Amino acid sequence: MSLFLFYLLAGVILVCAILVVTLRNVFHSALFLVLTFFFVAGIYLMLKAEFLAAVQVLIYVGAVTILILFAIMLTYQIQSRSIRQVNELVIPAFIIAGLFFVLAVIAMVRTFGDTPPAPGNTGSWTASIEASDLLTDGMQWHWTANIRDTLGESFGAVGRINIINDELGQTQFAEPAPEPAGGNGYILSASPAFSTQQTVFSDEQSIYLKIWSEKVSYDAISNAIWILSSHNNDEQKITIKLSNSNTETIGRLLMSKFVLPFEVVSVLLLAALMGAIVIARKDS
Amino acid sequence: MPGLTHYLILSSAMFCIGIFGLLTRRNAVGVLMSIELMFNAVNINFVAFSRFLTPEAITGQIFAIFIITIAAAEASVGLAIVILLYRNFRGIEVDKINFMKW
Repeated sequence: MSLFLFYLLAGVILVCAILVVTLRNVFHSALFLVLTFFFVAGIYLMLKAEFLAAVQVLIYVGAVTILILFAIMLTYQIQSRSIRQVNELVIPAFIIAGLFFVLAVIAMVRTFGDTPPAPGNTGSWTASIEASDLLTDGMQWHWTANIRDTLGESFGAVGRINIINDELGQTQFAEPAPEPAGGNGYILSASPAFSTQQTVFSDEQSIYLKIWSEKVSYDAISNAIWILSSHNNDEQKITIKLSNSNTETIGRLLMSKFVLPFEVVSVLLLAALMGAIVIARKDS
Repeated sequence: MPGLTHYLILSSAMFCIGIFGLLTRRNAVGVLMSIELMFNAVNINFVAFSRFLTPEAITGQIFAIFIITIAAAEASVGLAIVILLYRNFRGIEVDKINFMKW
């Protein structure tokens, strides 16, 4: 099914791209360029890059091609429809492009031909709590998670983790013994098709709970509620929005790991804006 | 499920179509459109690698965002140059604009 969808998208993209470079009328070329960009956004959706698909539609379909159409209309000549649109390099260019295609395909297939298929049905989620006083001995964490898969079916998952301080004062995370009737180990699952696994780890500031599953794609979990309870049953409920969505992950990365390139690129955009104005000014 | 090579072949085909247009177009705007096609092919490559090779770290998508930004800057400056050329030469055929050829 998705293979058929891929071939459909790829076929439309390639036909439109060929029309972009071969049509006589540049205006029609630009319109087919819009179509190409739109279907490339569909390819991004197939690759689970939702934010990038939205950006593609907004920036390429919405802005860049409009800019190109403006430039075409500002430089349009009536006689340009009849003059030749391609130069004398058609046959050499065809040979060069074809050779490059063959070379690229051979290199890529030989290098990446045995890549395993995309792990579309696995994923993991990590949540963190910034509180060290929750690590007291004998405390038990309960967590529940509502998980929605890509078909809209929802599952519930719950798990428990015991906190044990060992003799050296180090905190250990122990998973309770599997319950006899509880399905898959310590995870009680709503559906037998869905099984999760969990692990807990900590660094200096935070404690992380990582849940992963073989069945549900990694962007499917909605949120998780951690109910922290100690043995004398006073509960503390913490709801954590797990960073699962593509957009949220990109936003976090752009604001943390890639903040310097992000700022540099914003300065570059400002420079390009001013440069375009200066170049195109009439009295320059 | 389409594999990684499907996406790689699609992107290299798109890139080569871009090369063909870049070499053959006489219209400067057509050249810019071919360059945009090549940018998109590269982006597909990045996103496909990010999806297949490092599915949890989405660095490839971040790179694609930066490429889109650079492409927008390139398009704005390039089209400003095209308009300036049109104003000075009354035409934007790139084989006519050869006054910088030595």
